[in-house]
Amino acid sequence: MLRRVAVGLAVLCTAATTAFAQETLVVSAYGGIWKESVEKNFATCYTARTGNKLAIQTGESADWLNRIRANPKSPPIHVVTMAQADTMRAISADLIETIDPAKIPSLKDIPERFHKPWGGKAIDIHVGAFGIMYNKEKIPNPPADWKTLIEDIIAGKYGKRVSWPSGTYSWGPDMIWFMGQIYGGDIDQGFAKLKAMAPYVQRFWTSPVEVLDSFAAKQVDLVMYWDGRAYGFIDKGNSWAGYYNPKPGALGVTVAVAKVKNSPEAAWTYMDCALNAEVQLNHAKTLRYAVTNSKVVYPDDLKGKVANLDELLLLPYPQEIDKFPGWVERWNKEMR
Amino acid sequence: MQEQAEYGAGPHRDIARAAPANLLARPRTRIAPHLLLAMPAILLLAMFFIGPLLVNFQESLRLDKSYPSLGHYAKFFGDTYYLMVLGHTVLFGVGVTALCLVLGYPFAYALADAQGRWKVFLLFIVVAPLLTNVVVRSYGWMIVLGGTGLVNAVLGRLGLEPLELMYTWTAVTIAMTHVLLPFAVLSIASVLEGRDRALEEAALTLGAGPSRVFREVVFPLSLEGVVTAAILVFTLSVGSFVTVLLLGKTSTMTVAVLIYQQLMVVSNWGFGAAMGIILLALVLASLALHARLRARRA
Amino acid sequence: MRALPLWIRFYAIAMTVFILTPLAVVVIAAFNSAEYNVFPPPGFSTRWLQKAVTDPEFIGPLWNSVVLGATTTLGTAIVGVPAALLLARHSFRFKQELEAFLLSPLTLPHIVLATGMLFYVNMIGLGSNFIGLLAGHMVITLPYMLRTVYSVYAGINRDIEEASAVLGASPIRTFFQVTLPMIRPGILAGGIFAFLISFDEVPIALLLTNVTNVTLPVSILSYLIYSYDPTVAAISTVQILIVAVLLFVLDRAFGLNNLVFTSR
Repeated sequence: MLRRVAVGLAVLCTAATTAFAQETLVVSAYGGIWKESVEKNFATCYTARTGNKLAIQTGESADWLNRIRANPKSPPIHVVTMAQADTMRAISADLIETIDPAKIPSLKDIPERFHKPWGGKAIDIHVGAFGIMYNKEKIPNPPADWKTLIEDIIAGKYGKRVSWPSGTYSWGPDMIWFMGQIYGGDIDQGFAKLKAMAPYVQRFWTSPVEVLDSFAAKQVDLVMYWDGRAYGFIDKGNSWAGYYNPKPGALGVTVAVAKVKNSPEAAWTYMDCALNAEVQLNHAKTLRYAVTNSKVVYPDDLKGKVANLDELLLLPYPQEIDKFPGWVERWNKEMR
Repeated sequence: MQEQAEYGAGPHRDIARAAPANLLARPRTRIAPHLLLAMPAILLLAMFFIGPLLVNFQESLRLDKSYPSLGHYAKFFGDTYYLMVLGHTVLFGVGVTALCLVLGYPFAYALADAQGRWKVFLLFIVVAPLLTNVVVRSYGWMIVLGGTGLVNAVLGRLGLEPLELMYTWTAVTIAMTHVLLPFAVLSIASVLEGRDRALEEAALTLGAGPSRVFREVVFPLSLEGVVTAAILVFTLSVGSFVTVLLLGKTSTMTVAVLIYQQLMVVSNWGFGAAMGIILLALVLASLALHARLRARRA
Repeated sequence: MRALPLWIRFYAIAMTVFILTPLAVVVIAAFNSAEYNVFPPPGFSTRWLQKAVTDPEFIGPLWNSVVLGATTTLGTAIVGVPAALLLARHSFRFKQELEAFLLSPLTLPHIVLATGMLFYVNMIGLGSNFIGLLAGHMVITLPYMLRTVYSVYAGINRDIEEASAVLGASPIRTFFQVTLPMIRPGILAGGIFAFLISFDEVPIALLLTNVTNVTLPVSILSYLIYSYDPTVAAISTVQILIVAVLLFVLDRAFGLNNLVFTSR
């Protein structure tokens, strides 16, 4: 009896010390289904390969950026998965380590357009499309292209039952840029159209939750919204709702992984896991966003729902990011 | 003397005189060792408030590559848009404060004087808004105030025109008043609770009517609580942004929302910090002004 | 005991309706059977409540928030009450300046303070840990304790304190046996504020927590970025329930009249 207890204690002690000796990798993730996917898919792969633990720092993008900025010598987060703008800012602040392709075998399956723009510092893991979610009962045949849709809104065809992202939403500056792109890259015209739409926009939304609440309550019929979230909603028994990407394509927004400088080597393993075809497929199933690994074959129920990557318009951050504060200021002043 | 300035005149002077002599922080002239009482608080703020404040101040002087620069401050004060938002913010704060005081005072009175189960119930009601997450609370307001919401359903029943309440200053003010009411009610109720009730009994015995007793005895006694309520509600309404963000729109802009945008959306800490410091200076100045006025009256 | 005037009773009922209406929507939403917020709900279900009280994403943070809130309240009371007594009782040079200084954390928006604080704690080598988080919450809640205690103390009859001193009681004994019971309503109000502010605070907790001590509001904020089901409504409902039950039990056990406020 005593011996068994002693052996048990010894085993426990060894387990405890080894667990302490191993470095815990800290990665960022949003709460809810995102965190679920990181735990279920990325962490499982990482632990299987290294035997080490993974800790998830929840919160949100701007907050993660500030954390690694405040302590670059010993960063509290080792792999960041942030919004594009914040990844760009982290790169300009020299907080991100340059990728050694040899350490990430999965990189060869990722099309160049998902890592080239980052200058070898970050790799996109998935892509969301910012298209149109609508109430099929109220609007059976929404226009196929953005220009007609916008003119219809301005003409009051949908009444004051439209909800559009605010220029001050986290991806608001991206939306402003996209409006300019619809009109040949002319931001002034983009703003003019937004102003013309304003009388029929019940809400320029600032939080994706609030807009889904008002869409579910049928207070609005037409919403510029994310594809993954829209299909998540439709597939929960809301066949009255629809989603599509108007022509010539929706605004594509990516989420990239990057290794923070001065973080453990194991960070590369985690990044490789996040890009692995099998892991990515499961990630896509959870979040309903298109993933970047070209080897991923979507099952039938996801086909046609995840965005066709060739139809998306991606914002060239390095050239545009410095214009964001100006756009937001202009939005504040003009969209009153 | 303060108490005379407050209610010294009139036939009920004697009652007023009978009030505790220390109605408002009557100074005594003993010093040195007592100052140690504030030491822990001073140290805490010196370590963890002044430090971060200086970090912010330094950052607010950084404009692109140039440092030090007053560029962020010049931008704010040189642009009528920002001055207008500052004006709106102050007006909003004053409005919410006034509403909270007017709505909260009778409620505080009821809470202070209620007995038994009633008191427990009222205390629960008062803190209830602070127990709900701001996002779902805003959702509650959307259901209540929205186009097809409860308020409009009631108006429809009464044969009245529906109101467009959501995403207006009205909605923001209602929701902010709702959530800041606990601060007004508890600040006032705690003072009313601690008051010496013998005075009221005496006044009533001497033949003063209930409203006169309230005006000349109870209200002056509770004044410090009202001041506390005003300070807490004003600073909170000026400094919070989530309710304004979720229930307002681009035209219901406050400085706190602008700061949020700078820090969280466009990552421009310098301008955000500068606006924070401007707000701090403004509120601190009005607090100091208030203290001066009070000292002069006393 | 005095009876409250009738109009005040009606007024209290009207205010109760105003305060509870939006919260009732939240509580109803918590019992929604659908996977998103819709009003009125299509059916009744307790699954969101079950999720809220079993999901480790919320239970751990809920506990962290309770610990942080309680520690903050205690710390703020220890630091704040003596300072409030000093301001209320004594006159000295720069008194108004000291009062303004001690209230100044009220005037800086938390989000600005939080960002400065993050860089500051890293500068002094503390990093994002519980001490920094606690200090941050004590800084923002200190003015509340200070003001509520100050205003109650200013309104009480201080002759009793003097009598105690005259009769030979030590200052410490006078404080614990005479002053403390008299200022209890102020400490209580300040304590409620300190706890609830700390419990609901986002900006500082967002930057100063680490993977081991994430608080409930931060967890909720992060959850709501990608999820929209009624779980958060359910958490708020649980919070309301806990406080209601707590008040009821405290009242049964001690009688809140005596525990909470001074009874004269």
